[in-house]
This record gives sequence, structure tokens and C-alpha cells, in this order.
Amino acid sequence: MAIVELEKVSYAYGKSKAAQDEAISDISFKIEEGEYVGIIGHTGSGKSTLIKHLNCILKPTCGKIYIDGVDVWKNKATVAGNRQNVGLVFQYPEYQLFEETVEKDIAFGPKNLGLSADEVRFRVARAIEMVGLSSSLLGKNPFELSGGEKRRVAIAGILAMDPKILVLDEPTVGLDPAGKEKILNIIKYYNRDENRTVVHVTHSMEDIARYADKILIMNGGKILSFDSVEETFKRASMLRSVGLDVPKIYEVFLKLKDKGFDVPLNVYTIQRALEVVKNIVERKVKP
Amino acid sequence: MIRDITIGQYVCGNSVLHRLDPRTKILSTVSYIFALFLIDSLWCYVLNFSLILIFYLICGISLKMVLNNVKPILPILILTSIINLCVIRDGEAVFSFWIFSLTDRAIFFTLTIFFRIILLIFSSSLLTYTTLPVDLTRGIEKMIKPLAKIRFPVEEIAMMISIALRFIPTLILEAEKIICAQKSRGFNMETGGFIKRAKCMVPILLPLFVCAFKRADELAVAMESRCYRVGGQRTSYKTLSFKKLDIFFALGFLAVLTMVFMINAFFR
Repeated sequence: MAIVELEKVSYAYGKSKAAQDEAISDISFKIEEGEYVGIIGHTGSGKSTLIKHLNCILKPTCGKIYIDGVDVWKNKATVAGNRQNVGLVFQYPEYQLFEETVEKDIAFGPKNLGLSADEVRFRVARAIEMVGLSSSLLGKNPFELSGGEKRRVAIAGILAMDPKILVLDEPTVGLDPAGKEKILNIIKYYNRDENRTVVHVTHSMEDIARYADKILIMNGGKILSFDSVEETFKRASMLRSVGLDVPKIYEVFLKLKDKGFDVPLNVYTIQRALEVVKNIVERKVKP
Repeated sequence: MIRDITIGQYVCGNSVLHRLDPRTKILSTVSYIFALFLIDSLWCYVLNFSLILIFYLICGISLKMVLNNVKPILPILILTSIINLCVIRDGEAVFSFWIFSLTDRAIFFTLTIFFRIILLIFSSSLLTYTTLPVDLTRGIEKMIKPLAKIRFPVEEIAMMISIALRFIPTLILEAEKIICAQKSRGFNMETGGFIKRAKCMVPILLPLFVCAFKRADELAVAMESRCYRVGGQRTSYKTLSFKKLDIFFALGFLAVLTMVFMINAFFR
């Protein structure tokens, strides 16, 4: 059974019912448990609107949302349950920090879940470890931390709620490459090692090409394509037609192929490219 | 939602009211509000009410918008009305039940208060609907300019007002975002008693303050890098000037208000 299922979901901001005012319209898709799905699209394509539905922040104007097999808008209890199942990391999550210590801030979510003090402490310790911060930071004031650290604390606050589905809205925006790398690794860890479902919204093809299993492309409030990474990049011209790009390294390999080199095309990351190139060089040297 | 409240919002348009000099509009509004508190005949309130309705009609702003502004204070308004009705005892009883009795004075007084507050909102909203915040502050600045002679920081205050106005929508947006973020961390605003609810505001207000200070810092840097300094001589891009339209409007408005006062004096 799919862990996330959207059935003809539409949403219009304000009170308008007109089809042209819809931020997203007629969205249907399924995400299986343990999948890492990247959502990509232009500003205003409806990405953020879409993921706010996964967490019951927005109620669809029409259509149904099933999370973990439950119709989330059935009653108040299902809405509350949904907030436990789905952890949503907003854009610039560091702006939501408010407690006087890092520990208290991470504990805010688990406390709201009504967990025991021991369990909360355990969750906090685990979350701070997951985001790769030293536990000596727990007693510090979150406002003293650096931007990247603040963001990791904010993400820890969501991870401490132990959501089955982790949804992130542009988690790496505005960070330096090192900070970006750390965040991407946290997400990968949560997906691969904890075997949780991840939905990652981004502008950067490079970011999702690394770890995502599938890519959902939004354009003008509709789903343009929802397919595996490989299949998606095969249609590079479709991506370009909506102003999106394939990863730079993939483009290099496309051009190489065009020039008549015998190279594989499933290369989306620098590491993979390195392997492939090494392989080719070795083959050339050996015979 | 917070966004439905449109106090301080400008509605684009090109009606007579939009084109008036902000000073004319400010003075008219102030005198209108004064009049509201001085008159005490119901007929005059009806007259004042229709006057405002005509203005809304002229500038083509739907009454729905202003009614949204009235909504949040409606419970308080109704509550005070009920208290007034029960407490005021002088005058003749029109209706009585058990220990309560409604007197004609009470009904009259309640209606007056009710009308006053509603019209207060209607008229002040009309001012902001038809005047850009920038123009509004410029108007105020010009009007309090003479105070600069006694070292009153006129320009600085005008700048503060315009910055404050400019940031209302930004902060509302920010607040909505923070509420969403805390909601997804299982935060629940609606439950509990008053103190619990007040405590509940911390996760929203604190980040909002942090954000506001951050913005203030950035703005200060941006202004300084454009050579803003306190007490500097500045010229403005748009200069205000009274036109014929303003004179006609002011005279007409004054005439109407005088008429209202006369009716008030004769028909009480």
C-alpha cells in the first residue's frame, strides 16, 4: 500500500472556486514507503502549496489525501495523527526557533506529541546525533549558533518527532556548499538507514539527482512528470521546455555521447562521473 | 484568517477621493470623527451613515471589505451593547422582564455608541483605502511641520510611520509562515484557558520579534548605505499641493457637516 496517495487534489487560495485561480489542480500520485522523492519546479509552480497538503496545513478545495492509508481530513483526530506521521521542514526553518536552549527547542515537537520526559530526552539526544551536531550544543542558546547549525537544529526538531514521512521545502537554500552537503547527508541518512519516506522540494537538479529515487516535476500547478531519475533525465528536452535543466555533469556526458564517445548516460553526480571516467581510462590502458 | 483584515490597506483606483490631497482627506476624516462624537440625534447618524455610503459608492470599494474590519470587534461591540441595555436605568421603561427593564434612553444610548464605533471604522478605513500609505505619511508630515520649529523630530516620525506601515503586510505574512511551521511541530493554538493560550503565543511571537529585529537591522544598513541620516535635508519625489478639487471638496464637506450640526440642534 502506498504511504502517500493524492487523489485529484486541487487547491485555490482565497475563496475563489474558478479553475484559473487554482495553485495546484487535479494532482494525483502515489509514493511508496521508503522512497525518496524529489519535487522540482519553478517558483510559483505549486510545489510549496502541494507539500503543505501533506501536513494538513492546507485543506484541498477538492480531492482526497491518504497518508498511511488514512483519509487525513476525515476528522480532527486524523488531522492530529497526520501531523505526527508527517514532519514538514519549512523554508528557512531556523526562523521558527524560539526556546532559550537548543535542547528545549528540539523537545518542542516531541512534547507536543505528549511523550514522557524520558522519551523526550531520548528523542532529543538521538535527533541531535542524526543531524551531526555535538550534544554539548544542547545547553546553548539557539540564537548563538551559526546559520547552518541553526538550520540543523530546526531539522532536528522535526526529526525528534520521528515522522514516517519527512517533507522538506528547499532545505539547502542559502547555505554554503559544506552546510548543503551536511543537510543532504542528513536526509539521505534518514531515508536509507532509518528507511523512512522522504519528499524533498528543491530548485536544484544536482541536489536531488544524488539520492532521489523518483522525481516529480511540477509546472503551472500540474504534474508534468513523475518518474524515476533515469527516465526523467532521458527526456532532457522536456525539462528544458519548462525551463528546468538536467544536472551539468549529465549534460557533459550527453555532449560526449553526441560527439561519438561510448559513454553511459546514467551519470548524474560527480562521484559517478569519476568512476565512469576511471573505468574508461583503465579500459583504454589495459588492452 | 489575519489576512482578511484590511485596515491600512490601499485599494487602487482613480475616483475623486483617490485624487484628493491627503491633507484634505485627513482633515475631513478627523472632522467627521469629531462630528460623530458631538452629535446625539439618531437622524444625524443616519445622515452620516448615508454620507459614508455615498463615498464608498463614489470610489467603488465594496462594503464587504470594510465589514471584514468590523467583524473582529463585533463580539465586543455586541457585549457592550448588551451591558448598556441592561445597566442604563433612566428614562421610561419600554419593556420589562423580571429584574431587567429596557428604557428608551438605554436603547437610544446603545444605538448611538454602536453607530459611532461602526462609523469610526468605516470612515478611517475609507481614508486608508483611498490614500497610499506614503501619501498619508507625507500628508501628516506636512501638517505637523510647524512643530519642527520647537525641535519636534517631524521627519523622523514621518519616516517611522511609513516604515511601520510598510512592514505590516510583511510581518503578517511572516506570522502566517511561523504559525504553519509551529503547527507542523504539533503546536496547538486553540486549546486551554487564557494563561495557557497566552503562553501559546510565545512560539509565534518570539520568532516574529527576532525576524522583525533582523529586518530592522537590514533596513538600517540599506538606508545608511544610501546616505540616509537624521536631520538631513531631503527633497521629495512627489510634492503635495492643494488643487481646485480639494477646495471644492473641503467646502462641500464643511457644508454637509454644518448641515448635520444644524439638524442635530433643531431635531433632538
